[in-house]
Amino acid sequence: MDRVRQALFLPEDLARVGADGSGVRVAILDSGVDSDHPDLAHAVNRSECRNFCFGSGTEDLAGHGTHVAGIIAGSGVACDGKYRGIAPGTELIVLKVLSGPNGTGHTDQVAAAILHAIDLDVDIINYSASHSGWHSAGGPPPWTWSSHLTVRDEAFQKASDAGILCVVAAGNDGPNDGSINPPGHLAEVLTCGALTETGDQLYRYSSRGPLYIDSSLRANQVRRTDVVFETPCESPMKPDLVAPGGTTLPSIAALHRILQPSILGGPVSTRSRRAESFRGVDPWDPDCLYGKMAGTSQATAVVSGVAALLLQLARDKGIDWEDRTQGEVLRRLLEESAKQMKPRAYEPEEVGRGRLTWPNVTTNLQDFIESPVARKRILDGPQLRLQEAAEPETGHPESR
Amino acid sequence: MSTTTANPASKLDFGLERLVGEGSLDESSQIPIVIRVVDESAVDAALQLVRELPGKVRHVLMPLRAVSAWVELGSIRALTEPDFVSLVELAQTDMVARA
Repeated sequence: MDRVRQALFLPEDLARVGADGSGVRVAILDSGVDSDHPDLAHAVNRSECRNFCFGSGTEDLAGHGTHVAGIIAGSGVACDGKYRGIAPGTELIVLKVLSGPNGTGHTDQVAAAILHAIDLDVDIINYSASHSGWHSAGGPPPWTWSSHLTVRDEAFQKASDAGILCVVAAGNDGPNDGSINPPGHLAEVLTCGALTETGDQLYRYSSRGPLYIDSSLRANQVRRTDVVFETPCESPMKPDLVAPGGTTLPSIAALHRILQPSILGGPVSTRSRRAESFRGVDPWDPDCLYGKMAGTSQATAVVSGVAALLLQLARDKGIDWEDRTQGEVLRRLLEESAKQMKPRAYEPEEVGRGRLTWPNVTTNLQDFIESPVARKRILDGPQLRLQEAAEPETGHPESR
Repeated sequence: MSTTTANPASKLDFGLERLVGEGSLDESSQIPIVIRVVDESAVDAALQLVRELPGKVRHVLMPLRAVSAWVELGSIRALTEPDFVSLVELAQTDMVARA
């Protein structure tokens, strides 16, 4: 995690000065979380965790949700801080929507969990999962999607309308163009692509734009794109931004440590054991608390962690956004804080606005507070839906 | 509430239309579906419809005017008949975005 922190230009002493995401509630819609892990026990709000899959409990058989949770809010207590998360003070609400050793789930489960998260009044939803077009389209990207919205998509729109920042993964179907996975195609969510762990290169398998949508397709139909005759969508442009989460190798060899899932000491399928072994984790080793995993899932968790820090910082500065607009403003601030990468410049279809860095986040927040012009610039994004941005500037957000 | 409609097939999404049409699965196969209804007042009727098939309700998504359920493949066309059903779709599968 040190290299990720460096890539974000995140100061080492941030947590020591109290900037740790305290007071921010993040719902993790994933494969569950090992809430007994020493690095996570402090963060998980057990009374509000819930399983939307078959069975009960929010144990993590895939290891994925635990890893994502660790990136956001791991305390690092069992490793002397080496794998401390981005915002260890964040409160985590685990909503299990993916099950089995591979972490799969249906859109209705995800929709039910999102509606529950709205009822719980969370600040951020982290969704490090997606629907790949490989199977349905019968081949690799680019893919053209139906304009029909699933219940999962409509639920994300409702969450956004309720003021929740929804951070989702772009998918790992790169390097082909047109490989963004739903729900990353929605204008209302913050879609994250992945950089290598050092943050200087685009992760090879990070899904990328442009988006191809065909309103004449049947509901839930997807097909391979005919790039000669089809015109991509101008809006929304996806991904929105990129953050560290991948690896320079064409494998899953080297980034974040998996916080060991709760399969330790319990029954586990051969397939699951084999998968964990491939990732460099021995699930039978009781001392093994960390492992490796990479992809846009991890980049999404990094962005959720930064978003939690941003929201805490904003609240510390006395900003109290209206509930309905909070998520939209956070999304715009984060998008605006992503900048084109140097020395290598990537196309917007590959990296969106560019790489997210913490100094840009703090600068934009300060500008947002102090400068009406900057505030208008930040709010006046291409996907803006806030009515007040069209009105004359009347002062700081605190005055609203 | 009327119980018939002109073209039930048009109420199936692409995936279900294909599943129902191609006959590669047994009629008794359990399929995860989402039933969309025309307004919130019809959600209860959709629940009743699923139970009568019989099917197993998974989630009631009231704000989305939808009910999700496990039903047998052979029962799916019957779900499209009532006017209060606007669309029956296959619940799409999401997967962790890990390389």
